[in-house]
Amino acid sequence: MTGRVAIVGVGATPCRTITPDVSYKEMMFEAAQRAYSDCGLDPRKDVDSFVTCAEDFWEGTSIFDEYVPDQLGAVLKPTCTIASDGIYGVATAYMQIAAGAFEVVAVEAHSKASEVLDKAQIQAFALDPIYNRPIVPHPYLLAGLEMRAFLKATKNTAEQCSAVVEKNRGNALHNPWAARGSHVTRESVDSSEPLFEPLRQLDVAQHADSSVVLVLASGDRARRISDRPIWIRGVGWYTDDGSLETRDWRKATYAAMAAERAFEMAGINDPAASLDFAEIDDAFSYKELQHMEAAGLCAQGESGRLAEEGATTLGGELPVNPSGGSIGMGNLLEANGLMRIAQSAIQLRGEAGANQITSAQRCFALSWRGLPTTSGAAVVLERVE
Amino acid sequence: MDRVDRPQDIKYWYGGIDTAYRYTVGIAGERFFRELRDTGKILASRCHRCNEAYVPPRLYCVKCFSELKDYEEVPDDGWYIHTYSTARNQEGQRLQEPLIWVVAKHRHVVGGLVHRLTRASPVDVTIGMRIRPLPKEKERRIGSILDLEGFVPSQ
Repeated sequence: MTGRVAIVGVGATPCRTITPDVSYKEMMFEAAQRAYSDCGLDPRKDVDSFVTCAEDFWEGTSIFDEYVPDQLGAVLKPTCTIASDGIYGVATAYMQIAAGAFEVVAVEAHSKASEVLDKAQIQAFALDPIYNRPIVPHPYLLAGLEMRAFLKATKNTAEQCSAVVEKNRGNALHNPWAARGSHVTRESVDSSEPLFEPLRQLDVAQHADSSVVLVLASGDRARRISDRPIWIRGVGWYTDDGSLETRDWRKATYAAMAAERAFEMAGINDPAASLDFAEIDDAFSYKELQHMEAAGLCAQGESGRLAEEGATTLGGELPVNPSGGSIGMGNLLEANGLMRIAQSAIQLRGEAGANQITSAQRCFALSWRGLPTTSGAAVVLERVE
Repeated sequence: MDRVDRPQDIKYWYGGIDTAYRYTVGIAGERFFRELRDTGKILASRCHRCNEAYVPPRLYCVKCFSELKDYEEVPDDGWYIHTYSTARNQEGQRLQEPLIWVVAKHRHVVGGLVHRLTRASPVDVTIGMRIRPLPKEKERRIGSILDLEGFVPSQ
């Protein structure tokens, strides 16, 4: 059995810090054109269902669902919008196909972050209005609180977080899709402006604009459509009791459970030994380390040392975010997870250019919905010869 | 597709949302804020089935989904710092004294409170440090989370 659901089409617009030449609809249209062209499908005839992941406040439009169909070729076809990260959209498409409801489903997520003039206010508005908003001056305080708790509990260090930034910005230098590639040294991260300590300016994945579209198909259709399908072996998604008071700030339980479920579906018992690379959320440098440990890619307290010693670089034992991650490519709001999967698919196809990992066959992708959430989703992807 | 290639040709339209909300604090929240305003004490709701107490109080138990009807005062003793963060700047201005925020947890309850830590210097603050809540003077309390000045180190 090669699988029930596969990614057959990948399309995206390159991540850019600003995209003043196109509207969000035109950006989505371009990404959709690329994805449909990639798999040779006509959305009006061949795609049965469409899923978009978008949050109204990031869009600047209430009830954003209504603004989705036309630029995807989805008018008067089954369409739904999920207010969450793109991997939730992939999980939804997976279920639609696995349940037999549809054979071909397109998933879209995007970021027009450059046009959101009050990003911090939107995240602050996601806080509990009664207990938290009067106290929390800026959403990055939550990252400072979490970074401190995680580092203290695991004995990882801020300097090791700097190694993550150096790696991801460096990987992005060779990724033409990335917006934030740069030679950044660990020392420059260490000395960047303190925000809510121990968080520093360069620990933060700066935003970018992009639209990502994936086309998924059922097993039989996938084999007919594509000679290089990327199979979805496992999916998982969880949300913790997200209140700031109740959550355990030391660890990412949502990520641990999402990963565990995805690995169980994929029949993976030893993730580190079974995977060729991982594309995981790094919205802040410490989140990459925290998510590595949560997903069981290493033991607790080991992630920092691995980053420091280069084990997660392109040539390392287990490359993490060979694409550059969100730190290197840009934080794409609800599209981060879909971009992690798109980059994973490109790697598994052997199309990652200078960042190609030799003979990459199986990988893991993980998203986090960002501050102030405790929501995450995971997938295991595989190429079959 | 053909794109605009002269920056001066790019057009924008500005828009925003001007809306306000009224948030009901709810049955458990009402008990919490009345107690804080009237006595300066922190209140928890108790699940007898799971033997857990919740702060802020909730009407339901997270573990067993029971409806919770009993409330109890949380002793001032037992609070500690779960994690903390500091800021040396606010709105671009360098602060004379850095500000400190804590996630305060209590050894006998599930949950805690996020608030400021005052009367402390960042160099003295540690995770696990024992602290206690500091209510404002009674005449300044209105039934809000700001009825607490914050937390202070336990003596």
